[in-house]
Amino acid sequence: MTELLKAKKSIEIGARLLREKSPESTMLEHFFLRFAAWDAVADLPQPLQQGKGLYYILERASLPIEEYDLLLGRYDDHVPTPEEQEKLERLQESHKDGCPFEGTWGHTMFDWELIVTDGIAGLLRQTEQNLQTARDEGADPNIILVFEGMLWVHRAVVLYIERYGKAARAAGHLVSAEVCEQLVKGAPRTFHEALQLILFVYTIYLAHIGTTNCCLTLGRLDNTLLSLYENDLNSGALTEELAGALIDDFSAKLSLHLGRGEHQMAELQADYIFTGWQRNPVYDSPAYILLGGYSNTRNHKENPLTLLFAKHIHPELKNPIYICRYTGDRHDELWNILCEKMQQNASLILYNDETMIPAQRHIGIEEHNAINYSVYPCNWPEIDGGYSIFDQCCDSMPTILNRTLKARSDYANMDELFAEVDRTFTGQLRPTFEAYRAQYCSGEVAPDGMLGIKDCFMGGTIRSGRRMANGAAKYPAVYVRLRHIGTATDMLCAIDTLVFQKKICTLPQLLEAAERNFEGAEDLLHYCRKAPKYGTGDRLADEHACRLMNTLLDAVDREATNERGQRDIYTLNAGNADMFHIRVGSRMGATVDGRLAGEPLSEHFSPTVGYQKSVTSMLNSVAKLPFDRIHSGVLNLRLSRSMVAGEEGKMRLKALIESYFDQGGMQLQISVADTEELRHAKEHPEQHKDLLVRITGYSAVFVDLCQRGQDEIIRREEVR
Amino acid sequence: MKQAMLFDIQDFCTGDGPGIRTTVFFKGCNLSCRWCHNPESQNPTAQMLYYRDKCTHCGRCERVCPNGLETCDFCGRCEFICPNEARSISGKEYTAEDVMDRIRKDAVYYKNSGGGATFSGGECMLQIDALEELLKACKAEEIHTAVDTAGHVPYERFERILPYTDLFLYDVKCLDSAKHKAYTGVGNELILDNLKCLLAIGKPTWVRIPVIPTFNDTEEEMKEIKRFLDSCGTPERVELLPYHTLGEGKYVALCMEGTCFDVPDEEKMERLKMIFA
Ligand code: SF4
Ligand code: SF4
Repeated sequence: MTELLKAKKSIEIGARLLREKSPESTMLEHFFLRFAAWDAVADLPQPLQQGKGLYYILERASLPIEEYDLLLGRYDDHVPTPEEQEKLERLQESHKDGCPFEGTWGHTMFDWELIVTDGIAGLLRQTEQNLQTARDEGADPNIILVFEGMLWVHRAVVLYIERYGKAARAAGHLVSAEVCEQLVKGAPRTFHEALQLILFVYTIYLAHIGTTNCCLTLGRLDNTLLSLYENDLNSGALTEELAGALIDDFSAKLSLHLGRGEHQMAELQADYIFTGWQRNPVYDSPAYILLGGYSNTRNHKENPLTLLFAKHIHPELKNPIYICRYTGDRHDELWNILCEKMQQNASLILYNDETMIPAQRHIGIEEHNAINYSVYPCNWPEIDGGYSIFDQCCDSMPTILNRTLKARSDYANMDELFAEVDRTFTGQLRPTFEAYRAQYCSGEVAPDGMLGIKDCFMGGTIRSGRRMANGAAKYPAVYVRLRHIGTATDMLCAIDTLVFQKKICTLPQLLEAAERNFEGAEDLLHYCRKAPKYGTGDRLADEHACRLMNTLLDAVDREATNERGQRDIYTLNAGNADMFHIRVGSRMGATVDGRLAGEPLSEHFSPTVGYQKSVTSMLNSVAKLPFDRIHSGVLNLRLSRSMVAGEEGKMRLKALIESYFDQGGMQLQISVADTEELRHAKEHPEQHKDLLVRITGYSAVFVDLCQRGQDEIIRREEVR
Repeated sequence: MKQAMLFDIQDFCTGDGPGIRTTVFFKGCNLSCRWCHNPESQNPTAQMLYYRDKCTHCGRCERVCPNGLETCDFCGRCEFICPNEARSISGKEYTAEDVMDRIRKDAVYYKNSGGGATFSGGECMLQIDALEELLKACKAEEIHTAVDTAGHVPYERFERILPYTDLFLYDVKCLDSAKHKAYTGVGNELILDNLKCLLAIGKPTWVRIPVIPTFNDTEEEMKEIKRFLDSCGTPERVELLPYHTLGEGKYVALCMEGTCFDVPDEEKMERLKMIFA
């Protein structure tokens, strides 16, 4: 079989698995080895548990190889026999008190530049040397422990590669065997070796370490791998075709872990944990690859590897998610390919470099780091190279407003109301930031922190023996979540219009009506709903949205600056709602915008459903937000198939996106699916197994969503 | 400044000329096509659309109406208070500046898509002063302009706006004038003459033909139109627009009598389109 045929088969099987894998399929070996390792290292200090635990696992992990594999990196995932199932349940029961290994729950990114430049073998040598130096110099015992734990992690990875190399040789995969042998010795020297190394690290993280819902960003692979790719092309060791085949196999392997279903829209929290995560902790974890955008080292237009990756985006796969960085300088061939992929409903999200880089600069990130910004699943911003996120704070803007309105309700005008919003929010922010300062910005070595896997692949920790959350990070960063701006703006507009402008009622009357879920106040409810709404091109609403956002962001900037006037907390401001608009909405009483108790809030940066006027009005309004201070928060666009069909459709799609970004919009996520088609799929799932939709920074097979999830996607307004 | 009587301004129109466009709908028409899907566009004054099927007889509109519902002066209160969108005023006067505000806000989409503003109706040429002013204003801001017309106006009106109109969307219904009169209220001589003149001077024109079953949905009819067009010049495009039923509810809401036609099937549309390919 030629390389191209192997790659084709790999993609086909990858796409089929997504639709046909049994919901019962379980990563049994993952659990069995993990529990055994857990028992084996129970008495060690945590950093050694992390390191030796992983070594224990990777010493024993199975090393499956398929005849058509171009790259190695498979693992066990099968439907258990009754005996296996019984054993699994028993072990889960006896180990339910939490695992000592992995310090980071969820989403992360490693320093891929470092990994590709030095290889894990290189990191191992550096760690050995630094440990020796630390011992010689009598360093703090906690630093020595961190080095020791990290050393075992590096050893474990190298051991796994070595074992896979031997297995490959035995199976007659001689090219792969040689690739592994090099990776055991040192850094990758070719594109193939580098891609293989990244896949090994990814496989280990997802399949052997992975705690519930952990996901990994692979960063700007088109930059990280570029010089190796060009060297190989020049030396004749690689052709564009072969590189494309490797990328295909790589993409398919990034999807192997996926199971059926989706966690955010599951019926009940308990449901998904017990059906999904207990069988496979990463059953819907996306991998992110960033493509394109400005670069520190060369003109972004000239990156041939960006183009190659773009050509090999497969719309039938749900993974990886491509984060495509858009620059105002339109590079036609790349942009054209990306638009064609979007027409085919590929798993692709657009970020606007023209706002993201200024937004990173705004919080004090150095320019070269800002230019290299990255993104975590699911749509969380990240600084260059994975400088670590330690915490998340704040939440729903309607909650902030409700708290303000509870504080008092005798405002004479909107200015007074905004001043109180500022006071309320600052009161909440200050103690939180003080606590961060004490924890992350002090010079002390913390004695009892967890060594995370991320720490082991970051230059700061490898150099210093300090964990990322304890002094090794260049930018101690926290997420400031500012959610549901649509509902919050609508609340302000209703107050302004009904209380101050039209004087239809007083604020206490309005609040009281909302308190009663507008029962007996139907006229007032009606007026609330007719008041101006966010995202409709209405001037008042646009003004209130921006003013609210700026008021909160000003408070964030103020509180993130220390007494000496320096910014010491790097706040990544995110409007992501995930599915919290439904969850939080279901628990929240009626709001003054005319939203009844229990109804969903607005999603991400979208307007409240039902009020949208036209797609251009919506994009114009949203683009007015101060995105040069905001780091993420997607705008979901669901486009009808006819709207994007053919050359004219491509033109429309391009023009919509370009115009949104030209006006300062930040981030777009597009699904192509007709309302009718979704309704039909809900009724006849068997006929629509290939229908993918974007959730919140990742994709899902529509027919595998629960009913509520399907309804939510149908509810999103369609652009025709 | 001349006020324009409009019944709608729509953003993100993709069927009224090239690219992404804003379409301005003028109220008032001198034809009364039986298949018209915007019957509210025909009368040149404001009208109240009342959707009986949506009304729950809650009585709110009556309570807020200062004049009595039957002697309406279009104050808009009932429209605002009705919880069921059962009352809707069609027709409002706009200054040129109001309209330009709406057009301007999507300028970036026009630039990126090769779109612009389309003036449609009703028959926008009936309000020629306001139309001319708007077209001039668009040109001053380098916004591409299209005029969608049925063409039943003196040619002098075309001459007035020619310098500011980049494209005409020109309706042709059928070539038999008697039949044209029976279905639209007017003969087609003036319409066809004007089209000839436009094509003769090489003005970019898209000819648009509504395809109405039992009226003109045969190959013969289309071939006849094709022969006529060939004889007078080359339109940039010929578009066939299938009849649709979206306007039917509005006839009831306006207490007007409408005619229902069948919707032509896709296969037929494709066959007819081939005649002009
Ligand atoms: S307010 Fe609306 S629903 Fe109530 S009676 Fe009037 S038209 Fe009917
Ligand atoms: S628009 Fe005004 S005058 Fe006319 S029916 Fe409604 S409330 Fe009465």
